[in-house]
Amino acid sequence: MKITMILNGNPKTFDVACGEMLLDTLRNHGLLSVRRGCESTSCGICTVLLDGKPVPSCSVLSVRADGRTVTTVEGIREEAEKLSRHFGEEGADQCGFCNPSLALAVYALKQTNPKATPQEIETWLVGNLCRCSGYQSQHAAIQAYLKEKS
Amino acid sequence: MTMNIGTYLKPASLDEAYAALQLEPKAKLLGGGAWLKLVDADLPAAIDLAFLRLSGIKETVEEVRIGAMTTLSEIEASPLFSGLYNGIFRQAIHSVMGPSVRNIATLGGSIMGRFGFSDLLPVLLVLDARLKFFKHPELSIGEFMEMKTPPRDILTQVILPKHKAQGYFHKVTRTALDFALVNVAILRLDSGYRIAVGSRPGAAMLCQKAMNHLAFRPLPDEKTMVEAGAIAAEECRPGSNQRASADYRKQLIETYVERGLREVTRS
Repeated sequence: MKITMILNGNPKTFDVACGEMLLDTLRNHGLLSVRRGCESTSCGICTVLLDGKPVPSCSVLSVRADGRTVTTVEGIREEAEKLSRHFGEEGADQCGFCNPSLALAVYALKQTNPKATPQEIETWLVGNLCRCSGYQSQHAAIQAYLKEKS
Repeated sequence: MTMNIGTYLKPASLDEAYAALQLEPKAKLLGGGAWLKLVDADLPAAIDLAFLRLSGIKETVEEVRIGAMTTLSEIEASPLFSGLYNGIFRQAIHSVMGPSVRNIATLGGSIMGRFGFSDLLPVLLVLDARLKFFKHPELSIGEFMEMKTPPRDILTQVILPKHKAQGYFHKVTRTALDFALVNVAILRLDSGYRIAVGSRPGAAMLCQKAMNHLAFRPLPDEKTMVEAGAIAAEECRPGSNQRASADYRKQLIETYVERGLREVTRS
């Protein structure tokens, strides 16, 4: 099936199988920042933004992205770099495997709730697992990023 | 991982979707798709409901009508549910995984799946939600949960009465992403109490005997609440799975039914 989406600001047409997941479509076309994790909606590592909202791309059929806007971390490069600087300052970077998904989730939070409290940040990120950071330094970095003026 | 979907149908109307559902006996309806991978690896035919405009929340004086394809995030964001029934419907929705899953999971899919781990079903049972189908006569959620085979029809709307009632919901879980070991919902109405238990690990059910035990006792004493907890734990026949043993579940149900009753009778 042919689908067309606005991918990171540009219209793109893909030929997809009807049971294909958005995760596979994006990875098959070179977007390896969309990571493959649990593939069962539990880890958040495959998060992308669909019409600006974070979704687990492992569980969204590609055919459902037809006519919609899909954003990966490449589409928010400037904001991801800002967040990354704070990660460096707070020592929040370890293996980095979860960073693209985390950056997208935090970017979506900034769009909807730029003055999020530490509690709200924690609640927002319950679906984004990180197996090595322990979260504290990430949370400090995210708070600093949200306080930074755009 | 690509799923094996034989035919993908994108109907433009409910009539078209319903006709396709009746024509192909093995066809499945696609709701939000959050738990698609837990249910079926192969689908001979999938009928996608995403394009039928079945989402939205409408309020009347006596009830709230929620389109079946409304996502859990959309319900969570609605100010309507923060005050109703002590906010237990919103609380149950908020306890489902993280925001990204709630952005795709729909209320209709959460109901039609009749998943044992559902956090929403116990609350919908105590609220006595009504289910509106495209063709099948309206059903209460209690009737629907007791049916051996759900109607081969399209759920279009979920109707919640605007009870003025004290509510309680508790999901027993270790982390925010776990499925519940047990979840308990209680509603205290002027006419009596409604108690439901889910993740038994079977699908949620109303605890009719425990509710009968509390009938005609607007403010039950401590002994009666303890008895109601024990009756509820007995009648919902908890089982064992990899998450918890039947004995542990029984103790949890007793404890949280008791605690819930104390909470809803406090004010």
